[in-house]
Amino acid sequence: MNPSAHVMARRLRFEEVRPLIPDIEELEPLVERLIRLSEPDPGSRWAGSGALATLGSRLVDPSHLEAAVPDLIEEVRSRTEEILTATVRALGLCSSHEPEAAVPLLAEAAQRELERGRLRAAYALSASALRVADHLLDRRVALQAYLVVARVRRIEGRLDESRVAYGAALDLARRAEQTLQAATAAIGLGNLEVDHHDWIAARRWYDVAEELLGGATDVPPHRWHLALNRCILAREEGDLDAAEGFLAKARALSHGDPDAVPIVSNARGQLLFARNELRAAESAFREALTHVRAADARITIRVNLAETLVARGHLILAQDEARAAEEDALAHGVTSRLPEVYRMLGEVAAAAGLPDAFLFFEQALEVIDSRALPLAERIRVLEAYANFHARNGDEPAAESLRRVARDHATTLRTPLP
Amino acid sequence: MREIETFVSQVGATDAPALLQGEPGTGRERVARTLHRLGPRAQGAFVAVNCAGIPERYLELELFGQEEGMVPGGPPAKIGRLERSTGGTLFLDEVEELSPLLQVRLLRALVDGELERLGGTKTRPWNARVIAASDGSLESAVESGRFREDLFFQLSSVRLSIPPLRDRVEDVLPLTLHFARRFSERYHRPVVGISDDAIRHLESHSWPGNASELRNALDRAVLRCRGGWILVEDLSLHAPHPHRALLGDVEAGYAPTRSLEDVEADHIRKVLGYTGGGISAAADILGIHRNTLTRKIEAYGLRGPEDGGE
Repeated sequence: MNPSAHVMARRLRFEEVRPLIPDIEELEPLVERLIRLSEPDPGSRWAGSGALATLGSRLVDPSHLEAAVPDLIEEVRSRTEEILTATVRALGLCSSHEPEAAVPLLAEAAQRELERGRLRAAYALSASALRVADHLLDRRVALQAYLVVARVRRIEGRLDESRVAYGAALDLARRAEQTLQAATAAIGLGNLEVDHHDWIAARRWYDVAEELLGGATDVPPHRWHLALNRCILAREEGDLDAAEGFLAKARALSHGDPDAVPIVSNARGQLLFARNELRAAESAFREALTHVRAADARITIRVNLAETLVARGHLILAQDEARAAEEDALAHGVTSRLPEVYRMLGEVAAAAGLPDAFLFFEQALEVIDSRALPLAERIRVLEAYANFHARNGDEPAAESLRRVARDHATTLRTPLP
Repeated sequence: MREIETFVSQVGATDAPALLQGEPGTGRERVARTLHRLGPRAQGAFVAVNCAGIPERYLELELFGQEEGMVPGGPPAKIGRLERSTGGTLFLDEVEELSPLLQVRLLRALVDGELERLGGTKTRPWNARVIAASDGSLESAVESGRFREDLFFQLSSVRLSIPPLRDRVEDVLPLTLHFARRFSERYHRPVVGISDDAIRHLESHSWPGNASELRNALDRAVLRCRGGWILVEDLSLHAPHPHRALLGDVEAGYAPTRSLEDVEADHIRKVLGYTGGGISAAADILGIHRNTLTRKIEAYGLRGPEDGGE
């Protein structure tokens, strides 16, 4: 009998396995698959350590990866084929004097990379599109490429560069009389100003978008998106009655759009939270959860719900929601959302008086730093971490973190939350 | 419970290091806090450390602290938890998970009665009662060499084994009523009673999480119950893995006569139904590439859905 037939593969902690994987781009799908395959350690579920579990302490069985190799190869092959094909075809079009056709080809490839969360590739492809467009007399074809650049830079927290790209997109869209794209760019500019807490400038851009949409009746998503953005803006400004009005408008405009229901319910929950109507806010978020399909949106709603439950003092339920959001982020590969989930878990643990709540904030910062996620989220985590220290009477530690947060805010040229 | 009460009353008033052994959730920290409260160090701090929950790269710092100036522009001085427990009690939970390095440092601090912060050369006096807790595997860890025998003897002057809740079913009802009352007051939700079915459900559960699990179940139940009565449906004793919960009820096993293809096709159909036909979302849930899923949909002759998820 072969002795190795009885050898049981040992499950390892993610934090043990991760450093063993070379840090090269080609292996990113492997890391993502490892994250998806990871599971909480059942042995520590009821232990004190279980309550502190994060991505690092989850268990992975590397032997399961062998079965996933063909799928991973297909994923890498398929993505590489797409990018190669788009690039080679674009080169061919440039060579056959059709560069204006090459630009949207590269921009489409950039958009697909953006949807996959591959920001570096998305930016690189759209930058190539723009370099081709630079030589064209009519640069209107560069519109989509500018929008991709703007979205990538916004996600990365490079807001000034995002603004330039949205501005260029708006300019091109107007010249091309592409009303929807122009409105999209104007809304994007408004959202950037919200990021900067410049409410007046944000409102100006939303007014521009409204004007561009004019009396068009076949643009429902844009209209209710705009109403929702105005609702958020009014809420941030503290004008809750105006926010209520815009929310009602968004609901009316989105009637019949199934994708709108969870988003509008979530916005309603946020508005009720701002009004301190916590029980109603909880109901609104739970309503949103019954309709949502996309993992990303579900994470947002669960985190908002968890925040409401913390405010109500229902910590066990808040923890349940935050943990469900964590499972969503891990199972669906939306690891970019983990920092805010861990920030919420940290706030729940801090509210429960756990001295080890700091682990969640440290894990959030580790994920942000390892994935080069936006500074804006780093600021939020640092602020929450500082509050934890302050609550525990460690003012020097709190101030140390706040100092770093202030430095980041200066870099972004945005006020602290 | 009586045995625990006897132990506490006998040992509580002393300063002896104690080792509490029991499954997670059996109330080890609660017993430790009671010992602290009854002992001569009750006026001092009770400082808890979870040796398994804190990754080692943080644990040494948490235990021993650090001096200021270790890194230019770095964080300020930090007082470790050992130092904070001076004059009081240090509770080391899941002590069996301490690394060899930290076992050595802890042993030295126990024997010498002093410690050094990270990055420091100055020794500081340390005098605290140490209560350690383990899941019962500490002796075997000593036997296998994973845990130092000398440290084990330092920590275990007196020992208490806390039995799991399933071995003391007679405690389930009083604990249930205690927790229900506590959470009813905390949340201002009047609880009139608990149904007989719910009680039977609680008493027949295996309680892998012991009293902690029971406490959490009652916490949720009080928040969920309607009309002041806790019913079976208010108890979530087998809280589903959240990911599985997203898929709704999962069929509890397939008939052994079904082929692998049959089972796979069925599951794909179910997931597509859940995602409303969204291929990308379904591929995410199934953990396969969307091209692979598309091929399987074709191969199994499943109805081609609209890709509404993009």
